[in-house]
Amino acid sequence: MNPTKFIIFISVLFLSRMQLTGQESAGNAHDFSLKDIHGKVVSLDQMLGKKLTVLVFWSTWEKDSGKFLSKFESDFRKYSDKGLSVIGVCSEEQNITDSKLQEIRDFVSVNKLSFYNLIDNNLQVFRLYDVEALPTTFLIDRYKKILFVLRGAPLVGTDRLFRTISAAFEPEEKKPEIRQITSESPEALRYSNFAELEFKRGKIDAAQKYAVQAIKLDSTFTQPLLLLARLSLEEKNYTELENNFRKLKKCPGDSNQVILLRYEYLIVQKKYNEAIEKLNSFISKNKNDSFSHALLGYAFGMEKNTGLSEQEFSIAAKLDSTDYRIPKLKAEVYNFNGKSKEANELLRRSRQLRKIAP
Amino acid sequence: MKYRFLVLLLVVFNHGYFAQDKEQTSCMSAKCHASMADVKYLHGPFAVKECNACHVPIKDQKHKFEEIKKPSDLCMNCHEPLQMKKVVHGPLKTGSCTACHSPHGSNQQFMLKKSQLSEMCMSCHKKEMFDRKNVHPPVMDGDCTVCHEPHSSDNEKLLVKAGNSLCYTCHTDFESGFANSKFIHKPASEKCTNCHDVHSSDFESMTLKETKELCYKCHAQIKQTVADAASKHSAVDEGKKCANCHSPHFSDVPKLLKKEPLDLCVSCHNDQLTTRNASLTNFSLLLQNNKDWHGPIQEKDCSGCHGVHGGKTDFRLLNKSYPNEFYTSYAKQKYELCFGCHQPTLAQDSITATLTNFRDGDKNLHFLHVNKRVKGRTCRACHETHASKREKHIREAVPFGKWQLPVNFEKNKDGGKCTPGCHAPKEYKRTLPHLD
Repeated sequence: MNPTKFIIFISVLFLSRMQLTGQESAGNAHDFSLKDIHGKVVSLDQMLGKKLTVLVFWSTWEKDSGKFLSKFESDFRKYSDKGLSVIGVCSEEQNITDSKLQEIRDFVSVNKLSFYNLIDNNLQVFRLYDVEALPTTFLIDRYKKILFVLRGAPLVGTDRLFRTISAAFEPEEKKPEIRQITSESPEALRYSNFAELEFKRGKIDAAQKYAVQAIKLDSTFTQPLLLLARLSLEEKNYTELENNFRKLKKCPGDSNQVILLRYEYLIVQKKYNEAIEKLNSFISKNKNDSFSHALLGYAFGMEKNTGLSEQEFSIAAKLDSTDYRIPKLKAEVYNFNGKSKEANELLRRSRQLRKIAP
Repeated sequence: MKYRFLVLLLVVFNHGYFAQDKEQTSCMSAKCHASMADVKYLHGPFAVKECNACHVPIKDQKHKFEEIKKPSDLCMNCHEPLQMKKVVHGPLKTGSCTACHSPHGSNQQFMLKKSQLSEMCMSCHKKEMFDRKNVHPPVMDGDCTVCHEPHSSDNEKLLVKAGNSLCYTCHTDFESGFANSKFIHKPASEKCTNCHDVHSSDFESMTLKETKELCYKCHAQIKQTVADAASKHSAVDEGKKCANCHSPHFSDVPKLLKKEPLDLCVSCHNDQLTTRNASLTNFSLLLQNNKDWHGPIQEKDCSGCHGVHGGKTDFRLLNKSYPNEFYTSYAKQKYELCFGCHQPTLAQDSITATLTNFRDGDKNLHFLHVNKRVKGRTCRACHETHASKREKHIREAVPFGKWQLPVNFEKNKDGGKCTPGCHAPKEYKRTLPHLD
């Protein structure tokens, strides 16, 4: 790819991202020239940032202006050398007297604003941009396309605005959606926790009963569904397991545990090489997940790669010495390799951890 | 190890060799201690009637034994010494294994002295801690070892795991919530026990104090706002109180709100509500039927005008003054709420070319309507504060006593016209001064 094409590609990527995150796209920014607070005339073209421009209309009479502008100042300091420009347009009133001008200068000085601050005498730019309330903020790209408009300083919109600015300079991976705590969920949560507790104690029937109760209250609750899937796996009821996997697909939230259960299922199906490949990739992103190391140790063990198997089990045990599943998996590997004495010792340890009487 | 092996050999050998004799002469077969063997779990030496493994007879004195000064020394003769971690359980530290374990046997696993583990623990630990209205299920179930190690631990309070990681072993959804949410309540993510009593509590969700008081412990400013409020928001005092609107742990919405502000407000204001002082609108219906929304509503933030913890004015939880009448004499301070975002000069400058589109030429019609010494029209005379069917959220009609006074506003490219109940039909044009 030649450099020009690459730049176009990156710009398109950037623009598409911005448009997605922006609340509103409102055409192109109008050109204007205004005097800054020291009387120097500047135009939009002169002030436009290489990557992104914030155009914020403000006034000293607006109650949150100081706080709001200070946030832009903080971003301006962080990203100005990466291509962020901030333009404050003071739309104080129609006729700015000398004493009013001094008041505005004082406001800028008290709030330590180092970005452009312009005086919109006669409210011409205010009218040009069809502003009705202050503050009003526009995000403009390097091609003067308006990407985002925010009226006032609302709670969510302000958060979205500043996240959009930082995302332009510090792209981060989108975090998964988290289930909202609704008024129904505490009851489901309670049953789910009972189910987990009973499962830990080895009281499988009780665990199953509570998990089903939790799902009745909240059909997209990952934790009890995951528990039922685990029980199906342990009972070798693979039809039910597949059914539970299907239900889990509809659940929101962190899915690492679901992913690992799928890999465990691969191992049960003796698809060791596929499991090793997937687990290695999983571990590269989740280094501190003890059970994934144990599963990898198991898969290596079944492939007769004793060295790597021991290594992975050792990492797993170091990361979590309380998980009963780790010694249980290791015991199965030892049994497979004819080390029944060591395997029995590990099974005893596993039972102890799960609080089942020997 | 060698020494323990020899003791074990001696016990087994002694038992096998003299078994028959012991049936008749041991402490258990005698009338005195026979009942001690009538339990489910017997201690090994006792089960094989080798009392002398622990009780050392004093030479030449019948039925007299050396005093057992430190039971643990005796226990460690056979049992592997426990690996002591940083925090050691009191009885173990003083060598009193028998504080919890019966040395001969008991009906409980591990020869514990009491049938319920919790009873066992509560024989030393204060019962009141576990006896309040809401009890943590593991405590309720008497299973203290779900959270505590009975012997020693590297964590304070003999906890199985340190800090919140212990809580996350059961409350797994909270671990993922804290890890993945945009906004985290710091005290909660740092230590669950900052807000919760882990054993029992008289309050819902096992909090240390009643919800509001618990929150106010840190959020003193909100406490002050609520106390000073001229109009009260019932959501603060009723139901789950602060937790009606805020998620106390984590959220994807700023201020740890359970939903985006407008959605949250409408989740209660979705019906005609009656309070002590007023009848409140069904906002769900209003917003659904009227698509031209006021700016703060477009931005989904009712807190732009309303004090969600309590209003500073006595009218509709408003944070700043706004006249509650159709007519009023003009004074800037009466419209503090509107002038928080809109130019105050909108009602003060009689001439403008830029302040507003509601002008006839450069004659400011906002000024004309509002800025009067007598019977100035308030904003509500023409505008709906929340939403209406017309642009600029202009009203269809305004309540004027018993009459729904029509506004009949029509907008055109260069101005508009009104045919209201207030005056004869009037038209305005921005480009040319219009004289009538």
